[in-house]
Amino acid sequence: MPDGSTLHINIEKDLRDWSLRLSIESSSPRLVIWGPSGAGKSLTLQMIAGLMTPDMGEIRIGERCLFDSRRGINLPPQKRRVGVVFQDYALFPHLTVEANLAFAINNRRSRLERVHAMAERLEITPLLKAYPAQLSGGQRQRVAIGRTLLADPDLLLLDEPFSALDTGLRTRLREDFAMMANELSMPVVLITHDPDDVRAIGQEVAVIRNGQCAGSMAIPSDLLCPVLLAEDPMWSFLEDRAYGQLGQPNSCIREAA
Amino acid sequence: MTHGLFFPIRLSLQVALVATFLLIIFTIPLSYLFARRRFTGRGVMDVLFSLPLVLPPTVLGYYLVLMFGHRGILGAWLYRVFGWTPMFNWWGAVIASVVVAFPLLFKTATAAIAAVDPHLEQAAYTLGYSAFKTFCRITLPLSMRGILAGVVLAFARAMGEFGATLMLAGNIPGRTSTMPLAIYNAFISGRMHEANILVLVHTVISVSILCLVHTTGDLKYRGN
Repeated sequence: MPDGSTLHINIEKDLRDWSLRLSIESSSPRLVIWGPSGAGKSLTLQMIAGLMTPDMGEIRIGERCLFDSRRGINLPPQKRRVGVVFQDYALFPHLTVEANLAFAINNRRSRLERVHAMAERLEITPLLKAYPAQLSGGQRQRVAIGRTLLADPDLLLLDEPFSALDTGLRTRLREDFAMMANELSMPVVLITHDPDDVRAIGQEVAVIRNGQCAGSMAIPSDLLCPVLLAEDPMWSFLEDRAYGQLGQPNSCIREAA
Repeated sequence: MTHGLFFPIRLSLQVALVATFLLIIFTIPLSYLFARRRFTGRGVMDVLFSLPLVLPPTVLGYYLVLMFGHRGILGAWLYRVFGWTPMFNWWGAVIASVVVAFPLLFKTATAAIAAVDPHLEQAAYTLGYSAFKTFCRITLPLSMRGILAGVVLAFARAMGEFGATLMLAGNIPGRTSTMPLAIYNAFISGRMHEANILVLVHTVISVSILCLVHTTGDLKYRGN
């Protein structure tokens, strides 16, 4: 992660039928948390963002402690400076695109300027006076990302950002996002079940299954090919981690308990 | 005679407005709590809050007299400390109206707030908005249509209260005779002309209220 800070997650949460015991440590500017549906990815995101509280453990970004059950620290989402882009984008339907973008900005003087600058960057300037219902899926996604970025977060979390789009659009927006992610000053954590997202966006992938981290690895560059093959090495790499035996754990990761 | 007719109309409107105002103040936060939080005793409270819908007004009136009468649980204390009682004055009518109209506003408002996508509130929290600010800027505007319908229904119910009002506030002409009571008085005294006028006025007001609910229901807010 830029300025050398590490995302450190070590949490436990007991749910009705199963439990989450997650341990992830990453210094990568682009971490992808990959796993099948129901593995606990969205819950993890909620706990990083402060929308749900783990039973035990700690969550740290570099020196900043967001949650520590031993010291009784539990920052509310308002104070965590963690930006979230939800799967359904969660745009406020009664506000214009402009008002949505400006939502997190308190400084009245710089508000208009910053909103317009972001709209230019995301190529949505003609949409500023429109309402979310009038936008296409791809446009809504861009507004959601812009709104979150304008809050100046220390960490950007994305929950399956491309799953609500159809396949053709997905590929294009994935590439757009990968390019934009390069220019971001904050680390990105993307939650997904789609290996194509891993390939396009991630520099490091943490595999999660049944509420546990089954290992993580930097993505070797020879796996970053844009075409999905039948014998997709990315698939076997991920399958190995998720469905097969646990591979060699990264030296920074504790073995899932 | 017009003075005699004017008083019940004015009183009914006054009682209904005050009752509705009080209801809004303490029901909306309660609805938010019920719509968004889990807590024990919720089921029991839900049954309790729904009682005024199924209990006959005279039964409700009886319980209210037990509460607020001179020897009542709250009433005795009120009389001892403040020298005041809601019995046989228009505040008794307000209390009766509040109790019968409460479930209408409560259920409607709770449903309206629960219908707002929780992700929207979560997004607001992650963007730095406190729970209160989020309620004002996101939840309330998006549930306003449903809440307003509930407010209007509650107002109409408050205006139409008869049985509980009769027991708590009495039926004192020129003091606590609301429109429904005045209609009854006129009717049993054979003053049909008076009764007709009051019935007409009450009907016109009620129909206007229903039309208002209909219009709020049709109002499309952009986005949905």
